[in-house]
Amino acid sequence: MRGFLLHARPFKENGLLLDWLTDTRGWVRMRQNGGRRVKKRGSQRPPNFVCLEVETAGRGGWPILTGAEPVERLRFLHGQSLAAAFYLHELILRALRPEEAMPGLFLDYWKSLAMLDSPEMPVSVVVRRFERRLLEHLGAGLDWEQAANGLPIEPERQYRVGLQGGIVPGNGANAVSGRLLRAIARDEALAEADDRRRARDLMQGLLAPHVGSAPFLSRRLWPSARDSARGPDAGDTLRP
Amino acid sequence: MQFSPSFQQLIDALRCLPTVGQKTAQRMALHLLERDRAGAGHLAEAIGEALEKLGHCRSCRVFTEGEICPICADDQRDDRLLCVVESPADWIAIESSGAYQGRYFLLLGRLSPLDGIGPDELKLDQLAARLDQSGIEEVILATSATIEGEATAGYVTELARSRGLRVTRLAQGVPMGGELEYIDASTLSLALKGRREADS
Repeated sequence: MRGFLLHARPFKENGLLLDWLTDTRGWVRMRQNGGRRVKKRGSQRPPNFVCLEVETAGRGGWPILTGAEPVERLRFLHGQSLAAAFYLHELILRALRPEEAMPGLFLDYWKSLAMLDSPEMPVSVVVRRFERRLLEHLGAGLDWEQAANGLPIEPERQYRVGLQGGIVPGNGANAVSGRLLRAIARDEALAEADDRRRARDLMQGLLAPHVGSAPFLSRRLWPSARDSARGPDAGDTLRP
Repeated sequence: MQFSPSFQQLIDALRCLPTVGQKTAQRMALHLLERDRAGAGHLAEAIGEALEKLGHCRSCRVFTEGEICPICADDQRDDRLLCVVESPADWIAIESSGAYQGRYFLLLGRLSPLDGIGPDELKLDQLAARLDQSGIEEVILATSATIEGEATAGYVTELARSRGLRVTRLAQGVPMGGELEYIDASTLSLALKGRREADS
């Protein structure tokens, strides 16, 4: 089985509880004996952000991690890319139930990491794309290029978006422009900060039934996120 | 097996210690009661006194009896260096090395959004206030080599750089006495990235 390590927390004296996103079993929790001590090769905490071939042992309860070998080069994320990756982890662990296989989401997460590792890719585009794809994998996807009435989205028109009714032409405080919807559909960067905030709020609203409305701590990871709304998902189109 | 209430209470209390399970707690309790009653009394006294007297240093958050710890009160330490560590255990490790003579700041945790620990929970405003004090020129980040440690380092870096301070991190790479074939890929990768000119 292949997997990405999402989170590790201390378990007993030197062990770890590890949360994985795997290709065949979705979100899986494992334990690793001695993972907090660096004693010998292969016994330490596996690296994040790299696809690993995972081996486990044990029946009943949490399986024990016995091996985790990288199948690609290691990836080190920093700054806003790291904050964005934390946000993706929060999303996944809130949205998925344990052992619910989502191979498509596994691939989308993998692609998101590659995008976050690319210096040219705006962080906000990566995050919006992952949110859109997560909605699809949860069975709540929308046709972002076409309104509920069957007509294509017009850039200059205003629309209201809901999980029940889909995208319908309309005005109001929560309405968004067709231009913004097309940018989300096509993974395009939004130049205006106000558009980026609207896109963030729109996706938050759509995801809320699946991930809850509790605040995401990853949005507060960088001092500038508090000062100028440059969080990983609200953030600027370009990395610092 | 049913023990007397006081004996059971002692076993339960000892189990709060790391790595101590039921059997070890029983052995410890028997040792204290059978072979070292004076030691048990001393232990109880020391725990009570520590709980009563020890608090966190107002400046660096190390455990101390007074408002300021001996390191912060030591005027021989280098005021220009501030080493930021995650835990008291990390502080002890660095201080034990004898290689550092600057000041410290203990975060008492690290940023971990998935555990509900953000900047507010770590009270990083206290660190910001410490960085605002005059005299500091360099902030040394001694956070762990995990993504939580990296996130914490990134946050503190922004705090320090916005104040015009130099920020450095502990080097990562091959440990002393380590043989390359036994070093994991992540560590080797960082060691290669952080390679430096050979000493002449």
